[in-house]
Formats: sequence, structure tokens, C-alpha cells
Amino acid sequence: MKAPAFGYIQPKTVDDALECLQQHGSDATVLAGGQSLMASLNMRLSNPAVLIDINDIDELSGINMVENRLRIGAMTRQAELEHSTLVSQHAPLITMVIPHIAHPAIRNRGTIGGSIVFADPAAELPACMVALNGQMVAQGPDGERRITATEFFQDLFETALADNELLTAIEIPVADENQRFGFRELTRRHGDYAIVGLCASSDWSSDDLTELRLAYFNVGPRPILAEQTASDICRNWRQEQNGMSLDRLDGELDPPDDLNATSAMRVHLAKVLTRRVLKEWRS
Amino acid sequence: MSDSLAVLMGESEISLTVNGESVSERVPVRRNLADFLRLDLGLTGTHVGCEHGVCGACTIRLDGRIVRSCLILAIQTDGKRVDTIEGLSDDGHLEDLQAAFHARNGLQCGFCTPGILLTAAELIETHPDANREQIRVFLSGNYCRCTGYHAIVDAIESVVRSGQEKREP
Amino acid sequence: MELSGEIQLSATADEIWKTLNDPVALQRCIPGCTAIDRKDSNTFLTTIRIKIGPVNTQFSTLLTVIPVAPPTRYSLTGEGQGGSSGFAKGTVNIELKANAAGTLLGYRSQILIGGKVAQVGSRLLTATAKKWVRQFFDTLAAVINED
Repeated sequence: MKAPAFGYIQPKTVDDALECLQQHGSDATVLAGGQSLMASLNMRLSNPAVLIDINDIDELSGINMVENRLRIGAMTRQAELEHSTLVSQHAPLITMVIPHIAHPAIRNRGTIGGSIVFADPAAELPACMVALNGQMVAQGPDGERRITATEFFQDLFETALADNELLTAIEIPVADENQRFGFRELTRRHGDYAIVGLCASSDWSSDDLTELRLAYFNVGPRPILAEQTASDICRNWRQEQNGMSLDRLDGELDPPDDLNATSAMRVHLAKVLTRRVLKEWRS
Repeated sequence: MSDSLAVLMGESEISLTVNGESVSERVPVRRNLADFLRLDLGLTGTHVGCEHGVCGACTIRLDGRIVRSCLILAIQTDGKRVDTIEGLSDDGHLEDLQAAFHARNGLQCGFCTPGILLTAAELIETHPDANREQIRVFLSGNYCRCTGYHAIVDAIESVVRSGQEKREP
Repeated sequence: MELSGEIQLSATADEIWKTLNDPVALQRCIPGCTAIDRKDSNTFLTTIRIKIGPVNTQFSTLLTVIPVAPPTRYSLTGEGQGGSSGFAKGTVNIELKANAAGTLLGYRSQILIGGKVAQVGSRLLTATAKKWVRQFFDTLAAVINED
């Protein structure tokens, strides 16, 4: 099917884009990489009056160091992140995750900002941001504000970004040598949306696990940070070997039933993935 | 408000380079690149399969990188460079791959083939030493209903091998 | 899909019935409702914009409020057409029980969504429908508590 008719604007600056959002309000949709939006338009699931194409706004791209943070422009293509040495040095979890996002042709256009604002519960990048405790930098008519990842992803396809705001960048605390990262996802085929996935970030003091962030995806309407399970694992790290009990996860995850898996199966798979990551860290 | 914030409706003029040639056309704002190539320029080598980015049949090169032409608006390509199967075939860019696909029976109906060739070409450029597993992963976004993929992987692998042999001192 | 729940309202059954028949209140309660017009004593024509993730479309919906056994039992039915995106049909059965704090409203809803939205957006549906039904009744409670 073909996209319905819409109006099209291509602002050149963030200020212009904000002006467009103010003017057109809920009649407008922002076009970033287009890898989700264009599909939705082609299927006529979406019928916005106006598309605001932000692909020409240079200031939205780029990967930089800002003090002890890695700052990634919202329009940075996923492929660029995949091959960036700054990212592999300072946010290696992103480097681990990106090759699992769809396929190369999609990643050449898809953007980190687009994925984050779309907030698909089965997407990898939102969970990655939660695991890394990243900050979403938003610009609106009242200026700039920062929103932590856990507060940013609120509900099914719903974020803390206001209708008149634009996500301009993501900032991630730089990884240090006492940190390890883990990523696992279960898919039927490479590049599929995950049945269940896990992004993990850990802090170590020699062989002792001192802090752990477990961000699961496709286990609910948004990425879930399993804080109790994580603190249990840290507390019991020295004693327990691979027989680590992950029963707390039963209470922290409440996934939906769907065609791919029942709720119980998803929780079980989440535990499987967790064990795999922990095992990797032990070796 | 500046001019760039005027809302474009209906149709618009675009100028871009397609297969090395300058092209100027008036296109509907809502037309995607795949349809523009096929309907406005008669370049029907680019195929339309799923129209939502998963099958890979519409894969072309935009500014040197593979993308899904069904997920890009024609008007977004103003000022850019597009290369399709026709251009990349004509200029010999896909010679080795095409010969290998012939030799290994890497195509039957040919519907997926332009997309697969363009994807394989980018694989070889970015991963000149790709093994079979890496070939399969890179090609995972291109669906083939005829061959069962094995012959396709064989063909690409053979091109990787001859590339390696050529590079050996 | 079937969704049910209960909500405590600080109002009498009659007040609740009046609110359910008030187009201004209904427009506030129905998520995404951008317009509402009364067609006859129990029927409204509404325009509902649904904007969730990949779905961003307008449904024109015929809403009927039926007094099944007033003042305790009512029924709301809606039938919506979303153009090429699909359709939705739903019934919400409401039971009102007077108590010390006002009225306990119990609801049981059955929603059927079909067409493209259902095929492609199946991951969305249950979670979204649950959210809307809850939102409808939460807003109803807020509207009633205002008066």
C-alpha cells in the first residue's frame, strides 16, 4: 500500500523544528530515520497531516566527549554507532547491541534518537539506555532539559518527551575499567524483534560484583530495571555459583502473553538470559 | 517564519544523481523512492515486495550505502546520489558477484536478486574476509523464496575467497 | 478481549447516569476524543484520534448509551471505523451499587478490534485497550468528583 497524502516540512535548525512543532501540534509527526514511521505510513496505520523531516539538521548528529560523558546526537545513524571507536571505548554496551538491531540497510538510516523516542517495548536501544543510566536531552520552547532513562520510558510507546519537544542528544556516563557489560536476546531469526532481551551493566571491585543494572526488554510496555534481583545477585555473588536463584524476577517482571511466548515463558527466558550473562562474567 | 518552514503539499521538484546521471523531476510528496525509481524513471530493476522494510527487495544505494528505498521519500533524495542495480551492473561494479551467482545458481526467479547483490556488495566492501556465518547474518534482511539461500551464500563466499586470493602476496 | 474492573465514585447512581449522557463529560472521558455530537437521545457520533506508536489515525465512532435496568445497569456500545486502518467494536456493561461512600461502579467490557490495526498492531492491542478502559473510568471519576 502507498502512504497517504501529507504536508512536508524540512527545517534546517533545531529552533526551526521546534517552531514547526509548536505550529502544527498533534497534527504533525517528526520524521527521523523513517524505518518505523515510513512503514507505518505505507501501511496506512498512520495518517498525520504534516511530516517534520529532521534529517537535514546538522546539529543533531555527532558523537562527542563532554566532560566525563559520551554525548550522541539524536540523529546519529545506528550504523555510525556500530563503527565508532569512541562508542566502543566509552559505551561498549552500545557496540554489543547495535548489530542485533534489524539489518544493515535499516541501520544505515535508523537513528538512535528515533528508536528511543518511538520506544518500542521490543527494541534494544531503550533497554540499553536504562542499563547505562543514560540521560535523554530534550529541547523545547522553554529550553533544554535532561531526563534519566528510567523516567523517560513511561508506558507502551509513551515517553516523557512532550509534544512540543525534540530529543536532541543522549548522554551516557563514560565506562570505566571496573565495569563489564552484557547483552543477550532471544530471537527466532537474526534481526527479529526479541522475544525477550537483557542489557546489563555491572561494577566490580577486583572479583567482587558491587553494582548491577539489569534492564530487560519485551517483558512489558517498557524496559524493566529489575532492581531487587540485581541487588540479590550482588549480595550473593561470592557464595553462589551458577545455582544463583533468580526467583525475585517472578515478582519484578509481569510480561504479556502473545503469539511468541506466554508470560511464564518470558519470565523463564529472562532468567535463562540472566544466567548466561552472569556465567560469562564469572569466566 | 523562514521559507524552509513552509509546508510542501501535493508535488515538489527534486534534483538528484541517479546512476551517475543528473535527474530532475516533479514528484508527489508522498511517493517513496522505490516507486519514484520505477514509475518516474523506468528503473524497474528495484523491486517492491513488502513495502515496510523487511524483505530487502527494494534495497538500493543512497550516498554510497545500502538502504530500503520503500522507506525513503523521493523528496528526501534531493541533492543526493542514488545507485540502483542497473547502474551498478552497467559500470561493472557487481561483475564478480553476478558471475558467481550464475556459476552457483544463486538466483531462480530473480525477484530478490537486485537487493541481494547490492547487500552482498556492501558486505564484501565492509567485511572482505566474511565467513559463511557472517554472510548469513549480513544477508538476514533479504528474503528469497526460491533458492533456500544456500547457493546464495556459496556464491558470495566464492567472491570473498577470490578476493582473499587476489590480496595474498 | 475482555476487561473488567471496579471504581468507587462519590456520587449517586442518578448523577452517574446523567454524566454518562452528557456529551461534554463523555468527550473528556473518552481518550483521544476530539469531537462529539448527539445524534438522538441515546446516541453520539464521536471522532477519536488514536496516536500510539505506529498507529496515528482517526476513528469515527457511533456511541450508544443504553439504560438496561436503570438505575443500576447500563450499557455503552461503540462501533468505530478507522478508514483503511481497521475497525473497533466494543460493549461496556456497567453495574452500579450504592454504598456508604457513594456508588461502586463495576464494569465488564468486551472489545473487538479488526482490520489492519489488529493484524499489524496486535502487540499493542490488549495493553492499549486496558489503558483506555481504565482511563475512561478514571476520568469519569474525576469529572463526577468535580461536580
